[in-house]
Amino acid sequence: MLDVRTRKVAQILTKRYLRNYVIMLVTLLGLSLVANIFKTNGTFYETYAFLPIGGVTVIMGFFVLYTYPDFKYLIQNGVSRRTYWKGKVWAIVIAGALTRLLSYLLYFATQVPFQALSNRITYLHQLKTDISDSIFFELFGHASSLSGTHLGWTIAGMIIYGVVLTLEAWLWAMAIGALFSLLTRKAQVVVGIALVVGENYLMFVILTWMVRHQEHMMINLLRYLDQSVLTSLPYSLLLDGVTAVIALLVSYWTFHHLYLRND
Amino acid sequence: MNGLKISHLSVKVKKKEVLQDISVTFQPQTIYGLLGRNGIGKTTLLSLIANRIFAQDGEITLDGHSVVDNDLALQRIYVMGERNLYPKNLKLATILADTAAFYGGLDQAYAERLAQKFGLDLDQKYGQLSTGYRSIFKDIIALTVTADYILLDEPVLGLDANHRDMFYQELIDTYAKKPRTFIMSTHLIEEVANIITHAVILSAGKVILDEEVDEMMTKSYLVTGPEKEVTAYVEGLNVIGKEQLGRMTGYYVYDDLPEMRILPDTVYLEKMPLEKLFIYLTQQTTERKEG
Repeated sequence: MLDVRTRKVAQILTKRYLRNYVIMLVTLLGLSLVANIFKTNGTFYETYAFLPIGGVTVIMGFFVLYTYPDFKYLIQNGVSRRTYWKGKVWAIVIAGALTRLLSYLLYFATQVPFQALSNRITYLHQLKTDISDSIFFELFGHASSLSGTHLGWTIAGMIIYGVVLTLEAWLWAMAIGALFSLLTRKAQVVVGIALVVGENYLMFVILTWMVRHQEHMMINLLRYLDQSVLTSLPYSLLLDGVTAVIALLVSYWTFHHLYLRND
Repeated sequence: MNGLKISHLSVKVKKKEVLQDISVTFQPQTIYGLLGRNGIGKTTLLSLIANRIFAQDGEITLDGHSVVDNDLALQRIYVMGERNLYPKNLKLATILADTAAFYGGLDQAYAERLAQKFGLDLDQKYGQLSTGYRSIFKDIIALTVTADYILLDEPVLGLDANHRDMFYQELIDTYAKKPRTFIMSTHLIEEVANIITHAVILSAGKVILDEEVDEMMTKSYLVTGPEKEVTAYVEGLNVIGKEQLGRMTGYYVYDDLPEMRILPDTVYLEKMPLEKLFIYLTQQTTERKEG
């Protein structure tokens, strides 16, 4: 299916992403161990139970931004831009899905049981509480989503949605990393600072507006979500798919314009 | 096979025209010298061939197929350049393995022998190497990789005289065992004069000479003697340079000598070294451009 060179590129990148994921997980665990030493109450298990393991896959997106140094190494080895792009997409799909699924596995197999122990309730009860508190449930859940066989479908939907969001985020990270690689080092610094300042200013404007219009905004938002087809899972997945394709097109264009800079 | 063909290539770097309408063909199984003064565009040309940068105009093909985004073509071209494109944290052995994977082969046994010969430990990381040893490592890959066109950009940069000699010897040996095209861009012209069989000289953004070295040498002369006699002898010939040594005048001539012209007793003919030919040809072109 994949030619030798694309496979090799995908292999190198997938190994790197998986290795970084393991390092970040271990670091997170290590930090929580250290933090627990200074805590006056609560056990390590209680600290571990609430670790944002799922968030690690989001942070992994920063490693996907890394484009230009890989381009230098691959072009030195006679690998075309198209092969680099294909290999990276495959690596994102494989590593993104794997790391997200691993995070869910750790959550269901370790974090939920520890939370249940801590709260002195059953595993099932804890699971239903966690799911009902999640953003996924806020967006797509209904009262019956947690009962009987519906619970299984809800969990499946949550996992699929999580994997799709992760892949979408990583594909956008790939596109953004490639866009940055087209800029000179000086331009990257300028654009980077402008983005940080601009983002902070935008957040300030939004938060200020929200404080002024909070009550009306929340009422209208909830009313809209109740009525909107946008909150159906299949439709959301479709939208995510469309934005992922846009990210792929952007990255395809930028990858084909990568060049060896003089800086 | 058509070879590696550069057709009407033009490149601007920071709005300055570096290469202007360059056309040259590199044939298979030949050792080329790509010669030119500093900043003339030799590295730019090699980068274009390897599709590392883009040209504004023109085309580069390998056996009729464009090299742009073409893995099959790029897999047959290896560039050993001055720039360090290898990650500093990678072990040399890993880089060799990756190169073998991407190029479809590398003579591992030969690479290890060369590493031992040059005193290079392949368990080191690339970032730990000195400038000279980085060149040596890249040279080792260039001599052992399975590619048909090996582009060497300043291959002996930072190498001491012993290592330079060893490199040239290995180049000749590997070429004899497995002929392929080497394109060597270097400033040490006299060191490579006996190795290269074909020279391409760049000057003022253009190819000013593209010829077999043997052919060039048959037309390269230093004519010395008293000024009046020497000037009369070289009348009508392509004089590319002049030197004055006391009362003796020397003219560098790049031309066929007319058979019927008698050489006076006070005038002497010598062969002009390749380096001198290069210096005076490029000087002439630069002066014409500035004029």
